[in-house]
Amino acid sequence: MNRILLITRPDHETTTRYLSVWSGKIIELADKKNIQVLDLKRKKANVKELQSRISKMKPLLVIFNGHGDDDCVTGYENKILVKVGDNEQLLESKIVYAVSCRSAVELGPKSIKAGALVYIGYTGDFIFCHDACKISRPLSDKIVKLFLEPSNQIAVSLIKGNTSRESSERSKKFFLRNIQKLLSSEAPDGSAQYAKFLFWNMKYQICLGDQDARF
Amino acid sequence: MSNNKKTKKKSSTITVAEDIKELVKARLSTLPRNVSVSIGSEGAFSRDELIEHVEREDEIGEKMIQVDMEFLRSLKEGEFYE
Repeated sequence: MNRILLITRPDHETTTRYLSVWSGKIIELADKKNIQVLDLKRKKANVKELQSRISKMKPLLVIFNGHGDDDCVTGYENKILVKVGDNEQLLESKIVYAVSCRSAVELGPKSIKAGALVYIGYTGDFIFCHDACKISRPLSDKIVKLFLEPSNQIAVSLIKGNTSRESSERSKKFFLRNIQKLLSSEAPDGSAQYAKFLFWNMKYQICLGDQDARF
Repeated sequence: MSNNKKTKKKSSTITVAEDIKELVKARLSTLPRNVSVSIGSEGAFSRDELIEHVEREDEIGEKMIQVDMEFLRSLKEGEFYE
């Protein structure tokens, strides 16, 4: 299997815009490591494009940024990309990380059953805080950084050659470090309230499948 | 007698639920005004909108209560300190 990364970045409203822009950091790192990136951005984050790129290029690592539900992940304008009982076989022999709500409840286990190597995702909603004044400049938003750096850590860690288990654990440790910072007496006023949402993401992140798989 | 007990228990449960709701609202009110909270496909919410959802006890409000209660329980159990 080729060391190819496929990433979806729908970018059609505020939430997907933040995920899309911050995923740029993953793409930068992959470029530095000479990893081929299949970037399904905006309208290209659709099921036809996904199926075509997967069958032609056979990426080993697939990262979904977008909305989701227990049984699916979605792309541009919330149209379904992968759904249980429909096309989860697409993820066969893949390491998957889904930054979306609740897809690890049903799509995760069913993907593993269909042959996916790993499915890292969330069994609860993926929640993050951001500065409403920084919507046009998401990378300068220090609040969202608290959330999306730990989330990105999974992809960063996989790209650097760590196992799926290590990558999930590193992400959770990153969430924990940020929680601890926010609970310290040096944290700015009001910022301790972000900690509960970081905790939520940390608690509901799970790694299914082969814990020793590497990208 | 047993009816009285039941009434007292019910009243106590309602009071606890109201107390929790007020606690969650008070904690949310300390979020900075410029902060939005993105909750998946439900959208992004300001602190005042979240407080309204908690007050109405709708799906978003219930989620905020769940998030806060699970966090406070873990805080109490010392999960964040090694």
